[in-house]
Amino acid sequence: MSENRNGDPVEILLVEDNPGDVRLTQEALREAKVRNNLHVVGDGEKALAFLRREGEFHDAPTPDIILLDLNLPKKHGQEVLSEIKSDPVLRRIPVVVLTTSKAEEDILRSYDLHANCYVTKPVDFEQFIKVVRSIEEFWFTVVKLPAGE
Amino acid sequence: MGRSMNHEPCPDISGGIFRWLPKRFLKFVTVRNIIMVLLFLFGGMFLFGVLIVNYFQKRAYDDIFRSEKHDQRESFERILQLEGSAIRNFVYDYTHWDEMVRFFKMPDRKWADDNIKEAIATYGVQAVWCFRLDGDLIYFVAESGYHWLETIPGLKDDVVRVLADTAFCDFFVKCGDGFIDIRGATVHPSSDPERLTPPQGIFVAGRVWDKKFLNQLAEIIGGEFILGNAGDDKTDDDPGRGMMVLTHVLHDSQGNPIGVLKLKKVLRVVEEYRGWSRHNLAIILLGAGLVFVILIFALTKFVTGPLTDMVNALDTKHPVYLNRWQNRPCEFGKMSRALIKFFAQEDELRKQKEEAQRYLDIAGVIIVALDDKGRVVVINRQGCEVLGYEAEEIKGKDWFENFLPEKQRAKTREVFQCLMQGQEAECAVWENPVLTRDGKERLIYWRNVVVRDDSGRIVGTLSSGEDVTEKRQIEDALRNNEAKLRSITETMRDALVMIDDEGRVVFMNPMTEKLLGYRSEELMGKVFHEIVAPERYRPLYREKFPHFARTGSGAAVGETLELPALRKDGSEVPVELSLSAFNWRGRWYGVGVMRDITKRKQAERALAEKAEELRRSNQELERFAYIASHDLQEPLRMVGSYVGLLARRYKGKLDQDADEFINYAVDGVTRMQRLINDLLAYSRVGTKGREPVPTPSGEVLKRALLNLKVAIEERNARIVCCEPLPVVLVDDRQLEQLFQNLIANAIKFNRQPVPEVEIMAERKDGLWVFKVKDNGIGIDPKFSERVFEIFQRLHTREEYPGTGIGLAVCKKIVERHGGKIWLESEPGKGTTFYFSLYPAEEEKEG
Repeated sequence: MSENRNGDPVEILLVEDNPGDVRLTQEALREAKVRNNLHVVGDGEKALAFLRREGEFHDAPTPDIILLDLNLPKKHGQEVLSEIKSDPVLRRIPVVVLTTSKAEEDILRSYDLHANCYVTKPVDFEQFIKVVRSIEEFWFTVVKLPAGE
Repeated sequence: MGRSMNHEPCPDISGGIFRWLPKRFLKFVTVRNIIMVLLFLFGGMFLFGVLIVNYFQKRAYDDIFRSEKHDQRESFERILQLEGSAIRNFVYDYTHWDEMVRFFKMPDRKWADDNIKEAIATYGVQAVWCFRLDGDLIYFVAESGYHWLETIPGLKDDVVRVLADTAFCDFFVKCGDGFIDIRGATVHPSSDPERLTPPQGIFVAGRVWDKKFLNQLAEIIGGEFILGNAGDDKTDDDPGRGMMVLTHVLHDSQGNPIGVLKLKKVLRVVEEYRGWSRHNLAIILLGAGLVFVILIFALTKFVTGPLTDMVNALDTKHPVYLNRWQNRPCEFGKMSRALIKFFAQEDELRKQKEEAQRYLDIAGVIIVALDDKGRVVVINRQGCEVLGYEAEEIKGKDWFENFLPEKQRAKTREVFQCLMQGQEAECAVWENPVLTRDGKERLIYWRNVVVRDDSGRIVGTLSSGEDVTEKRQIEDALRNNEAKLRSITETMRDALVMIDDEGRVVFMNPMTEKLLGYRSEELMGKVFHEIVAPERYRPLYREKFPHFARTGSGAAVGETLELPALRKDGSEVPVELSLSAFNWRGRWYGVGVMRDITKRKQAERALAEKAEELRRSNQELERFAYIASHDLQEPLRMVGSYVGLLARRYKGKLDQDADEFINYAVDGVTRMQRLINDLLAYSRVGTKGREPVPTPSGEVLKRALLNLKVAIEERNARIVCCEPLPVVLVDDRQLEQLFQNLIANAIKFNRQPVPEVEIMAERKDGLWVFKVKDNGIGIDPKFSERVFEIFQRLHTREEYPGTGIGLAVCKKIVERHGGKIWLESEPGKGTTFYFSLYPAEEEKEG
């Protein structure tokens, strides 16, 4: 297993209300090469609270990457994305948007919310693992993130 | 009558004193021509006289010329004789001289020089020769400048020969440009005057007739002396110029003529005489010519000119020709004034006549007068025209027997008898047909009066008749038309109402009563819209109607409208109203045809509701398909993912059946998802399509081919595109999809080592028809419809993978753009897909 550049585990925030998907993500990440800490929040409000370290999340770490599902209760994923990208600090965190279908992705693109990456949730687990791996490789080994983050 | 005047035959022109002339020349017998001929005759006679005088003058002149010439000839001959006698005397004197005899016996040059040389000049001789009898020249002497005379060829021989016979010789010798007068004699002693003794020698003298000599002659006699050759001795007198020519022939020693001396001289007396007579003649002729011209001018100006104007004026009856003359005091002036007066009267008369004629023509009636026996006395032109006869053919004939149809004769004659008995009132009008020349009948409406003589006795009838044949036919036709129209309006199934320009009903048919529930008398004469239009529409009618009344036009005229009409019972009925307008005698009328469309309205409403329902349901269906396929993804993904997780974690750990079951589950989920995706894509053609815009299809095709790059390269396919492809009205992304699907299919369903795809487009019936042709496996024609249905497959998944959505999407895309898609195929050979699209706007115009 490799680590990020500081040797610390990668902090991942998964915003997802479907426990099945949460579990799948956990399972996939377990097989990942990168040491990681997966934090899961079930809705958009909590996601923003986590990022802003509000309430129960006062000691939450700043995530290295956000995996954002769109179909969320209380606050829709689009709003979450839009708020993240309008915050001068948070906007530097790469966001991978998880979509259910190509069609949804098209709609999102039209809003131009500057997601760093769109990923369609795959149907079978093998693919899911491939997706997670590709995200890892993309964000942790290829892309140089802004310094200090 | 006016016309007959024009055709009056010309009166016979007898020609008067010119009656002997052939008729066709009589037209040339005019005053002008007569005077001209007389003038020419006079001129001719004058000329003739002049010529005669001239002839006698010429004769007198010739006489003068002849006598003058005679005198001149005498002078001429005389002077020649004188000239000759001088030299002759010289020769005579010297040859009859004893000294000379001695000289010949004993030539003494000194003596000769003293006696002979001196004499030369005295006698006007240029040279002297002294020959012995045998011809030896013993002495020669010549005037200075004439020494060349010593050797005149042949002179010696001539002299010797001639003097052998006679004592004297006299001849001419030609030399240079002149002649020499040679005179010679034998020498005898003075004691022998008869010259009977033998000659002692020969003495010859010569005088040269050269220019100098001729000038001497000319000085004496005047005129011009000319030497000519022999034969040149014609006397070419020219009496015309007073020129006279005299000749004198010169002979040689043998008596042959060798030359001629001519005297040309102008006879001054003759010339003067002639000059005078020519001058006189010229003056006379000039005077005569002047008189002639003046006469012609006067004739034209004062006689034939005005005469022509008078004739023209009379001919054309136009007084403009008289304008120049009417103020002159001469006879032509008087004549002009008389003519102008005459024309004015004639014009007045003509106008009156024409007016009367016009009245008669305008009346256009037949006027017939009959005598008491029924014979025609008077008939006017209209009558003649109707009957087709000339007036002369009708007059005097029995009216009833000749000009009425047989079956009408008795009846009409009765009316005539009735009139003749004075029952004017009963028979004042009568209608009966007449028989025309070509056997047709014309119906005439007569007005009759009786004609009485001075004593009051009825002597005949006078009738004016109007040809009413056409009028009666028109009336019949009108009646027929009216009946037809009435039948139409009464039986028609629509209500028909006609209103005037105040909106009042002037006509309505029975169906109107039925439709509106009013009886005819309740609507006739009433303002239609005030009764039949529902209350809420009346202000609009009141506002718009005046415009219609003025112009016959309006928004509703010429249109078919649907609007409600108010029935008598207060209910409204929907009607279809067709409104038209027409102008009759300056007023606008409107005709409305109304039809009860209650049933149709209901049907239309039902249809509209159905259509709306259908549209909604279609929309719902599309939305449903989209949402369903979208939302179905979620649980499906769960199933798929966890089955996958299961397979990953527990493969080989459970029994073999479990592995197989898991495999089927995974496969099923994958297929299910593909179906859902395809369904989603299919529904998105309708819901997510964009507005068609003009799009260059060639560029779209390039994009589609780029998308298919991998597939094309894998299969080594050859794509042929027949450029240029047109600009069409389409959503470019959908066209891209369309190309992509068709080309992908063409490559996919293909077993050739090199799959070939050909794309082209052509214009057909205003559309662009695209053609995608391949050399693939082909499609059985019986499936050519089915392939376009969604999820329809012709092959197993193992043969050719796919869900069978591609062509369904194609069909939906093409139909969304208003086009059509179809195919032609031969199994095993290949398939050609066609689809049509609308051209872009600018191309339509082109």
